[in-house]
Amino acid sequence: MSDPLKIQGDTLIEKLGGLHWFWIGAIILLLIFIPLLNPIGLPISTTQWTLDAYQAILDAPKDKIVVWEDEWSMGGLAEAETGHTALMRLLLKNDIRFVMVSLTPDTPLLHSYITDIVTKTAEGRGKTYGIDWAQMGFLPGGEASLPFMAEDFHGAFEADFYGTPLSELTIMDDLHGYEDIALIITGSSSQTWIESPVRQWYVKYGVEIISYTLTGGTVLSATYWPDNGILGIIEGSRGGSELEFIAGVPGIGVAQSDAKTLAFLATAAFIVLGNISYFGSKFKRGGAS
Amino acid sequence: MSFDYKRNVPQYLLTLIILVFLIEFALPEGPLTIVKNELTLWLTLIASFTFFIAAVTLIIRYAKNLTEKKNTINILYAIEFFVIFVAYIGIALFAGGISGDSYKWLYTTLHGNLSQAAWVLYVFLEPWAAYKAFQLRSKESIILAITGLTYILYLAPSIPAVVPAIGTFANWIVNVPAKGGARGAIITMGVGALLLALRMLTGKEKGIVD
Repeated sequence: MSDPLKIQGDTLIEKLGGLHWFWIGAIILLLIFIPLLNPIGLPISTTQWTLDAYQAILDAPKDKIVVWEDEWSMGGLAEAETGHTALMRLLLKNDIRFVMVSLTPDTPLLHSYITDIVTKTAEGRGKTYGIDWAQMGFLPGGEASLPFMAEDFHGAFEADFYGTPLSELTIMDDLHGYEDIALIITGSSSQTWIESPVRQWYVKYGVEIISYTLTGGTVLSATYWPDNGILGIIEGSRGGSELEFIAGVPGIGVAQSDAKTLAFLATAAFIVLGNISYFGSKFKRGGAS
Repeated sequence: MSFDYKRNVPQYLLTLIILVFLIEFALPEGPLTIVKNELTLWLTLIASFTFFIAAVTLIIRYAKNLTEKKNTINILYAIEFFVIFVAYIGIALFAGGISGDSYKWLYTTLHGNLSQAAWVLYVFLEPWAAYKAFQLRSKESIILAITGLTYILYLAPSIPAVVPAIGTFANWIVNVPAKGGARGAIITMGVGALLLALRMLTGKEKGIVD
């Protein structure tokens, strides 16, 4: 491993392109920490994807139930916390009943963590577990588990994550299969996951979907948006911050947005510096690269 | 010619199951749906069982490490594994189950924080990779740098709010060339998957049942 203190290159222009990865990372880490500790309150932009996702949730038929299937896990908490919290608060705020389903073994613990946060907010107070929402445990099988749920929800889960039989949860009286589902929210930190719910929920059963993917992972989801199964897209913590703003459920997204803005601006600045160095060195050598 | 049970029985089974899923997918709900649901239930059971096999495999692997007297690091890794493994299982069995507060605390504090810490390493590597890779050295790198830089600025939530043109351009990148390219890739993968499935269905794909 090269010495972080040694900057490659002979001239100043060459040195601009020879910075060690440690210093670039350290500067960006610092720029992330400052707004997290002391939010600046920079302006935030909203995308049509998030606006559409928000509207689709509001338009979900109240007599049906939203199923929130999820592949996010505790390891992705930094990216997921804003979106998960905003989504759950939005659903509870608008009296939209929902059931959370875990598609990885450690997603139930993420759901529990988020639930603990949300039940302490204004939107969570007065809502009852088992009536307004429910949390299922882990259902193995990946894509194959989706049609299983669609055909027979009570067959796929005998009890919720806490061991309560589904027959004892009021909300589950109204959820047996795909006919009872208002909307699917499919969450994953992999952008390619979206292929599976589109194939199974939309193509097979005609249930429309909101894709909740990671920041920068929207390309595949966008191929099905807005009129091929995907009604809206929530793009990781960026989309979560937007959702907080649009839905009026402010949380940690403001600080995260500031941190992202500074970190991405710094990354862009380093790219420009790299190019100044490259072209400066090339010009000095008389055009030879 | 004798009947090759080892090869033909799994192949017929595979063909039958593929046919059930294919036909059921194309048809409205009917008797075949019940068969498919039963098969799917078995699939989730098998998938669950793989976690058990994974646990057994890990125990065997680290138990072997414990017996390696010369390799201290491997012994330490094995001790670490068994301590954590026993702690998780013990808490899950005797302290409120996996939805209990003790398990949640252990998982969130230990696993949650450690796995997030691993992600922090990307802060050091990804911006540096962009700093090096987005230098305009060739025609390809020009396209990569322009789209990459635009999307990086677009992902900074405040930049499109201040400079709307960046948001418009990034949206165009995602919704026109990227969407077109991704759709092309999806169609290609679909055709490829169809061909592969047909080969599996007819027993022409070697290595599936062998």
